[in-house]
Amino acid sequence: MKTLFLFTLIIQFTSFIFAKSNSLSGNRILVVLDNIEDKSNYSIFFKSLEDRGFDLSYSSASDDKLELIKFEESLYDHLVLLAPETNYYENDVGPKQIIEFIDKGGNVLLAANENTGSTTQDLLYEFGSVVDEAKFNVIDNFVHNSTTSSVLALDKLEIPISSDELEAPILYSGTAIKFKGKNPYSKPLLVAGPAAYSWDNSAVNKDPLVTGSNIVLVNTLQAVNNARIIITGSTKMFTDEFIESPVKINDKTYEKSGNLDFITNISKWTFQEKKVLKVISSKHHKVGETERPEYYTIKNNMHYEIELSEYNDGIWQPFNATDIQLELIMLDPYIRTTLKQQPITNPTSSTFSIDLIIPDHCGVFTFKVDYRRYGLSWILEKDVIAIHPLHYNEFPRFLGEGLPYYFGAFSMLGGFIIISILALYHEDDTKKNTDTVTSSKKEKEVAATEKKKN
Amino acid sequence: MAVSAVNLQSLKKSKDLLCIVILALIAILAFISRLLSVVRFESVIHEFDPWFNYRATQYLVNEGFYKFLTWFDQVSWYPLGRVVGGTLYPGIMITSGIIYKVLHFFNFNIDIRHICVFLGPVFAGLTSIATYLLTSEVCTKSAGLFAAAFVAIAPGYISRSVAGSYDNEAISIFLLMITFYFWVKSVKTGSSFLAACTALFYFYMVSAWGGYIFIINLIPLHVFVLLLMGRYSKRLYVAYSTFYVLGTIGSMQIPFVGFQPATTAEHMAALGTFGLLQIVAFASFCRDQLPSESFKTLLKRALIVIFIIGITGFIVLQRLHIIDPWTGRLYSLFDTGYAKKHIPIIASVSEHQPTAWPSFFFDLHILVPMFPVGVYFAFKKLTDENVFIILYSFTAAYFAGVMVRLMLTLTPIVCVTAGICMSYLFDNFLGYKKSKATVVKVEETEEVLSGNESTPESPVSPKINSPKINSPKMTNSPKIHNKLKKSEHNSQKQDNSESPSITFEIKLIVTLSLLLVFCMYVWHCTWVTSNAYSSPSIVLASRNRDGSQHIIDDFREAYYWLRQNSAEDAKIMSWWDYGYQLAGMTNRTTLVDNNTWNNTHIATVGRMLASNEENAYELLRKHDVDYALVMFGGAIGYSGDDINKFLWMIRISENVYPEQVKEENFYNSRGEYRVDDSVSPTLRDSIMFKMSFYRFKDLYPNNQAFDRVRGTTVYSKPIQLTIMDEVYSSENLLVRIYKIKKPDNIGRSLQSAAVFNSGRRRKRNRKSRKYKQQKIDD
Repeated sequence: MKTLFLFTLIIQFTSFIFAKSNSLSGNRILVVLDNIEDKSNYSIFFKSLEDRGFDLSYSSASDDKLELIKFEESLYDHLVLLAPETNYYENDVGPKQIIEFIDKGGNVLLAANENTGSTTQDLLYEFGSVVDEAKFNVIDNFVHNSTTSSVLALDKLEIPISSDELEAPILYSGTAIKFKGKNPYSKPLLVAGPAAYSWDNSAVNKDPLVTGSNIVLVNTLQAVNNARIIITGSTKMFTDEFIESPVKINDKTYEKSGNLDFITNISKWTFQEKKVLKVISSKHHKVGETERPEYYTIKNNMHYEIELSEYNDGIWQPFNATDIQLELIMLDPYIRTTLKQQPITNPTSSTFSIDLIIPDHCGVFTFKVDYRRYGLSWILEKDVIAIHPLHYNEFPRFLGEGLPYYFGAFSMLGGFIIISILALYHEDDTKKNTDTVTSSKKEKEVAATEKKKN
Repeated sequence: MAVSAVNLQSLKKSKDLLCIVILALIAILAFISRLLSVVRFESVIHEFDPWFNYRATQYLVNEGFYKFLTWFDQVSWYPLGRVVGGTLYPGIMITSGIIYKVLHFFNFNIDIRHICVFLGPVFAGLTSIATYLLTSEVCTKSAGLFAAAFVAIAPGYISRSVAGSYDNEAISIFLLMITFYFWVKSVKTGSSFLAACTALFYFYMVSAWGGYIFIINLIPLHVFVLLLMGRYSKRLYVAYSTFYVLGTIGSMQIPFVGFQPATTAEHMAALGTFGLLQIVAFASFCRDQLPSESFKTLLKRALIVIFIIGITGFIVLQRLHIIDPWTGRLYSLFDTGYAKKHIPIIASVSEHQPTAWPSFFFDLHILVPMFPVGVYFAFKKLTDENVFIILYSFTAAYFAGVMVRLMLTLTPIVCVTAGICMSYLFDNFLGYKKSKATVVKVEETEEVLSGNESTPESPVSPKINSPKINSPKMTNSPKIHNKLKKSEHNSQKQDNSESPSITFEIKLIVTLSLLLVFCMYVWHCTWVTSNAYSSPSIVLASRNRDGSQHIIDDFREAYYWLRQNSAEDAKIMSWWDYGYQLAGMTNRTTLVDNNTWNNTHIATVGRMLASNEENAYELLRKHDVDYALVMFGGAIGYSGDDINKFLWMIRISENVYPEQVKEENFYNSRGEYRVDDSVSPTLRDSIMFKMSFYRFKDLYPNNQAFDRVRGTTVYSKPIQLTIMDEVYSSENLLVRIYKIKKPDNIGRSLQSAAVFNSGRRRKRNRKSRKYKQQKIDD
């Protein structure tokens, strides 16, 4: 028994080493289910994750061994929450702990359904979304699979995360999510058609929370620390049943739904397997130099350069963009300019750079590249550096405009010398005239020269 | 006769020696009496501005003069920065820098801090010498000694020159007096050398203090008045022309002053007087050449034309903005309500308030009644230099009445006039020779005359003395003639006054009572120095019940905490009063400081403090603030705290942001500024209020929290502070430091994140939905 245990431990250990997923943030996934038996419903999904090298742990929400954070350390790197119906998770794994998990960099894939419990509701509220009341379904009488109007078949993504085309429509059945619109980092990925509405067949006198394309089916959220979160109102979307199910929409029929593709795509995004950006380096210096100066002086020529790399399915590759901007900010942006992509020399990264003239304004400036694009990791590269005014010896000298003053000064010097010579060596021929007028005149002259001497 | 002459000379020598010894003792006394703060506390820089001067001096000593000259300070006024080299008066830093270098050259390895701390007292000693020189120049040596003794311990001057008060004023009063001394002397002698000395010290003064404006207006005023009195002389011409030209060229060398002497209205009087003097000189030249009748008419017409041209030219230039208009600070000198209406930032400073009358007595004590007496004596003998003393007295007295701070310029002249007054009194009541009434009256009168030049107690016959003193260079002046006339005048008067001859008893009583008054003066000065002016204000002292001293060192404690615990590049937001101290003691970046050069930036900080959390957070993020710091005196009753200053902050920001900040919103419904339960909602929501009173209530059991400054209970509901965390509060809660939170990771507002973290669940959406439903049902 003991050896068996040891053996499995070794197997696990080796698999932990060798079976490495493409995720940048880690392999460990915790799957939380309402009942542990539900695991079999999602076998295709879980299998696909395991195939991608993830190490899955399963737990029921009401299992008292459920743990997410221990001693302030996350036990897992990713979290799949397929337990919407449980009101209270064991061991205080509630919204607070899950948000803490996100703050520590964990990624979350969350699914709600028609009977969403309070834990999931509260969590969704913190993400800036609301689910409709219990038993409310999203219904679309025009775009649905075969005859069941509560199973939506959608073939168009609102804003696709990646350019992957949907080969077949996605089947969706569940509750409506209302995106409150306050959360700046949240964007809907999949929305219902214009004719959709949220409705409870048993309680006819209530009006729907949201209708039409305001119904968010799949929502994305990328936090400040680049943790990624997917929210969907349908647990069924992930089930084997939906993945395998044929789709018949209007006249077209598909053998298999596009769910697996879609789920793979969004889970790859969520678990940091693709669309991850990173800054390799960023530097700036005066043109002709290579080191970052201690400070710039106004109107210096400077060079700014940032090197970026994009991660997709295990490969770091050059990132291509034409819209990366550099800002020079002192309270307000003084310069906002687009960086130019340089010819790629490195197989794993690309360089963006620009030469510019420092603003003619002294102050403490922030050089900032703030690149936040939907689906991509957020890039924020800041450097605070002072721009000094000209130093005392940096002003231009001997200006043409100054010539009158130079002439004035030198003519004054010359005049002074001439007058002093005149005053000192001038023999007064009116000496015989002892008039007081002349004497006072002379005195005045002497006083004037004395004054100038001093 | 020969024997008596020898005696006379030896006596004179010993008197000179005595004079020097007394003066030296006075200078030492001036130094020593300013050391109380060091004895009480420690050798520490005081208050606010000195901290900047200290920091700048350190920079000068460490980085060298040229770097200092073009110093761009990037850790103050974030993110604007401050061009320090071009916006400060470098005199005091250079002075201590030179002292430092000289001492280090001789291997006295003294710390720069000690030089800075003791610079004020050293210059106070020099001030008493300069005052002696000025007074003995306008009156007698004994008057000079009196004035020196007065100024050495006058509280009005001590307030700015105690050890540790390392401020511009500490050295500039010395410069003021020495400049005036050389000016008076150069007018008296007509020496261009002395006038050049005046210009040199004026240049030093310009480099040291913005108060140089006083000199550059007072001296032209003196010249102008002398011209009006018809006392134009070549001495005056030489003195002023030399002084003005050299002084102006000198003053333009200071980067902060630059071209101001040519462009600002404050300097125009000096320029105008210079021009006028040239005209008058030319006119007097013409008078010598022309017959008097035609000259008079010419003069009259020319004067009128020139005057009109001058005034209109000035107005036109000012309208065209070639000459800058007067600055607000100057306007507020003539209209005391001006600042309050238009520039609250000036009005908010306590030292810019009009002076309350008790503070005259507090700062000058018995000199107050002596002051007009001295002025009276100056009037009695209206020489050129006495005209100067009179003008100085009147202008300084006016300005001191307008602004508390300018008490400083009044103090020396009060000491001078009091010295004159005292010397006259003692001349009359202590001269024992006169009491014997054996001396012939003519001799007596001549003694009074000679008293102008030599010591008044001189018991010897002045017949020998007077020609010696009236040196040959004086003979060309009309003064002697005047003096003779006046002395005749005096003698007649004295004849009348002396007729009921002063008996010994009266003399004794008067002398003794004057001595008693002096004792009281010394007593008062010592008391004021020790109690009012020796507090470094960064360390507070209070008395325990048993009389022992209790030191409250919260400021340094909190600053030290910041220095040790915050990141090197942390930005700290506080009201501008603490900017210099923060920069000096914590070495961190500040947003605003005591150099109030950018009113908008200060108003922005005021707006942050007056805003509610949401708006404040936006501004705080925009300015990259990491820490916010407030002073709160409610726990120990320190009345100079931020809540008491808050109304000024609001006024200053309202001046710039009238839409966002409104003063009336900070008063409650009864129009009162309260912090208890009747607090106005706007004040209650402002982060200043929240930062001050955050968790203050918890210090006291069951709602008994009491604000000892405002003397009220405090707002009884708990205060929610969501955009920042309290990271430090000093021992007596005097300084409270908050760290600004980062934006929420998942994009919530910090308020809702805080609500979530506090564990309160929200059901608002459910409720709103039901409400909506009902409405639809209806």
